[in-house]
Amino acid sequence: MYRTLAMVALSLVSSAAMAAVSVGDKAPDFSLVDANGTTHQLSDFAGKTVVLEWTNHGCPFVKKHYGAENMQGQQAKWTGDDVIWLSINSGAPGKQGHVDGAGAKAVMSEQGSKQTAYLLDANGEVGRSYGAKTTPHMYVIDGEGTLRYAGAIDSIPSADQSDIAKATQYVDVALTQLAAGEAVSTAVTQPYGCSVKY
Amino acid sequence: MISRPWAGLGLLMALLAPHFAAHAAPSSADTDHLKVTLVSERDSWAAGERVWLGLYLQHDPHWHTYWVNPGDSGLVTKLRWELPEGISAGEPAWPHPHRFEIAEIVNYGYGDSLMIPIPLDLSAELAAGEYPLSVKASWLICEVECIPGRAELGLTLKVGAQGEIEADWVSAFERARAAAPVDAAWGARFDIQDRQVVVEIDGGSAWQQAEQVMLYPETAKVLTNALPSARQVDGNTWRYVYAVSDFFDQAPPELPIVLVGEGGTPVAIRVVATAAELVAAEVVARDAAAMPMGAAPSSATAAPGDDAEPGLLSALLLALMGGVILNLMPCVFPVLSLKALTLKQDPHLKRHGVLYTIGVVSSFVALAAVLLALRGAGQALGWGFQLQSPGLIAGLALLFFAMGLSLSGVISFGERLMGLGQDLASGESDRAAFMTGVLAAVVASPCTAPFMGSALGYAITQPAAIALLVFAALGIGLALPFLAISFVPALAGYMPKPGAWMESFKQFLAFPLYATVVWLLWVYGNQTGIDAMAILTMCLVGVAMALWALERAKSSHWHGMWGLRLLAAATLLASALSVYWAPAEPPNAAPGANAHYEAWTPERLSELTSAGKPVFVNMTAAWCITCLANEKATLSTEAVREAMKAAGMTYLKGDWTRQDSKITKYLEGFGRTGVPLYVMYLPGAEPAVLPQVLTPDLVIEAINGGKP
Repeated sequence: MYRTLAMVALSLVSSAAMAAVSVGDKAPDFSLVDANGTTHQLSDFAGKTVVLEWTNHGCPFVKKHYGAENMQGQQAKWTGDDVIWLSINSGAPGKQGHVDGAGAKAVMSEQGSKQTAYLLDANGEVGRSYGAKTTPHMYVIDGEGTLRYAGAIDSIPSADQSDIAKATQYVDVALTQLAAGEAVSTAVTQPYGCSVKY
Repeated sequence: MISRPWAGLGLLMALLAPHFAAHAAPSSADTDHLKVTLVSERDSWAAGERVWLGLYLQHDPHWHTYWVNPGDSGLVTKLRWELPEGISAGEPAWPHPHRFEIAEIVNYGYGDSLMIPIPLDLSAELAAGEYPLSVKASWLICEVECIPGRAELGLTLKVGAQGEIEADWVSAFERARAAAPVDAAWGARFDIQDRQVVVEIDGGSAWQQAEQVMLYPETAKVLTNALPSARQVDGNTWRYVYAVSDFFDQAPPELPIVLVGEGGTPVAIRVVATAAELVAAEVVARDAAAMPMGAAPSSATAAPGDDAEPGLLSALLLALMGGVILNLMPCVFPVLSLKALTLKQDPHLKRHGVLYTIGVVSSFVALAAVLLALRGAGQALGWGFQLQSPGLIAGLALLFFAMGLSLSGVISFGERLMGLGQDLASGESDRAAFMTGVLAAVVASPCTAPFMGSALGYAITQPAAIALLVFAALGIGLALPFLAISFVPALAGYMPKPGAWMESFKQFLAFPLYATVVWLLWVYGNQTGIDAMAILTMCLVGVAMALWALERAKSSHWHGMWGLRLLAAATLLASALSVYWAPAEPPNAAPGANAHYEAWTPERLSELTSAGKPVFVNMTAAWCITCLANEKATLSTEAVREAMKAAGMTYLKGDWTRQDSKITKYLEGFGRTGVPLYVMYLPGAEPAVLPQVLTPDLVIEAINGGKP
């Protein structure tokens, strides 16, 4: 009885610490339609590492990383290693970067992007549930569905392509560490970029 | 805000400024939605002085660039100087920023037209002449969409005699200086608790007319950019409660904040808040909830776990159950067994049961009242703090020893002390019953039974009336078994019948008391040192002798009666004095060389966790029996030590035997007011609180992240 009561009390105490999604929490599940009209649900990818990339092709910071092939390079590298890479566009209709399915396909072919799927979140619901603030804003979710990294794509906040080579690529580091079964050394950073156009 | 007609005027001025035309890099650049101009405040400068240049920004309507801390998105405007030898550039004197909100995104920056003054220091040896300067400026300008911009600007600095102020730029520099934050010596503090940040600023009566004072943290990643709670004025101090930033990682030692109070002089003030221990955010947040300010805060701003905390009723129930369980605790048992002895012979069972209950409850309430009063006075204390005082430990040791001697038959106190002896039927036993209750409460208080932590943690953050109610429930719980026996004689029937065995039993009961004395001595020794402990032990011998003398003196035929009484009094006095003057050395907290743990400090913990290392934290105290039992039976076992080693886990142990405000604060962070507290930090996971009663299997499972 002693033990049971202790557990009851502790669950009361520890659940008091719940708040918005943060690293270490269960990543919120969602279901979105991609550029081809196929529906993807996060929980479909259970067991695999998932990268979420908030994107807006009109944003200079997104252009920085696509223009220098940094984003496509990482997409190709990691999707080739059984990682699921989901680009999400939470731009509202009428705002910069908003696309429909056809628009998204055009963007993908122009960028030569290598993500698993380009997801459309026009009402911003998924973006808000993750607290996505900028484009790009990156999240890494492990096979158990736990959020392991949230923040910037890399360590130098600028719109200058020449900074990419000097920067620490946080997402790449996090994925490398996860693949090696290690803890993610830098798990939370401040994202930089344009605001998500909710 | 700089008025709009002024933007046009500035543009005109920029066009008319004639002597900037002749330099390698142009002094002005027209870029997308922004015109930038580099100006000098005077037409010439003297060597050795501080020169003021300015970067004049003219934004298209609705477009903005960013401050040092750009907020949720955006980038600060950056300047890279190319300067001749003898000239060095300082940090720009940023005017205070403005707040821009688009959808849920908050930014700090500038719109319209403004001057950003930049200091240059001229070396005293700088020869007179003309010096070409250039700067590469880069920025991000956004309306809703964003465009990065850059420009290389130049001007020629004339060095000779100090020249005239450029009339064209006078008002722009004046405005910039009026909008520059003034460094104020106001006290300012911040404290990160759980997921909230309390900020206190001793702003006094400044900006009394201002409808609101805006706060702009210079450092990102600490405060959320959503608005905080409304300013709560408490005497000289303003208090704000923020949700912690989503990107919070580690608390900086200092948090510089720019405050802007529209309609006052000065308009903006800069304070540097230092990390401090402030009143629990929960209390503040609850008050703050009554007066929300401005836009609805994001979901992250909601007080954590409003719905998850125990409600009043469940807190009372938990407290009641906690109290009942306290009866089984080793530190209460000796007292209760004494009471059990007296119950057998008590003709006023019901009345004494009630009195005992009143004694327990009133003691708990009194302790709670003292705790609340001390808390109100700003002291960081925790439950069990009364056992952090060596004086009280010494007193208890002496008292328990005297009681033990009495039980052993060295002396019979009768009912005069704590309901002992055989004369319980006499009129004075009312007081004895009450006092037994008091004693039970005092001794029980440090045994933080499981979930007492939760109930007490709840109580401490509540208004006084509710806190007292919770403590009263705890007391009732402790008294309940005895109350039940005194009202339902059938229960008493389960107790053994009185007889000759009782004397033996009574004498036997002295031994738990002696054991308790040994424990108290050990605690005292930990708190003070071996010398003080030896003195206390000598005092025990003194007490034994005094009691023996008193008992001998009871036989009135004996001539040495008065002499013995004198001897007793002198020994007792000497004991009391020597305890009072006992050296109180701080205990040697450092673990031995072979220890498998390190001493806990908040710095060490954050160092380890931020390095992504697994950590186990054990908050313990020498007077906490549960803690010691767990350490002995679980944490020190080979299996657990091996598991920790295999996981590369660092074991940090915090000793709360003596008052330690850092540990108190850490406990509060988990809603606790007492020890033990066990927290497992695994990389990439929330800290997990383990139960207060540990088993090796349970700990090993937790070390392995839930796998056995």
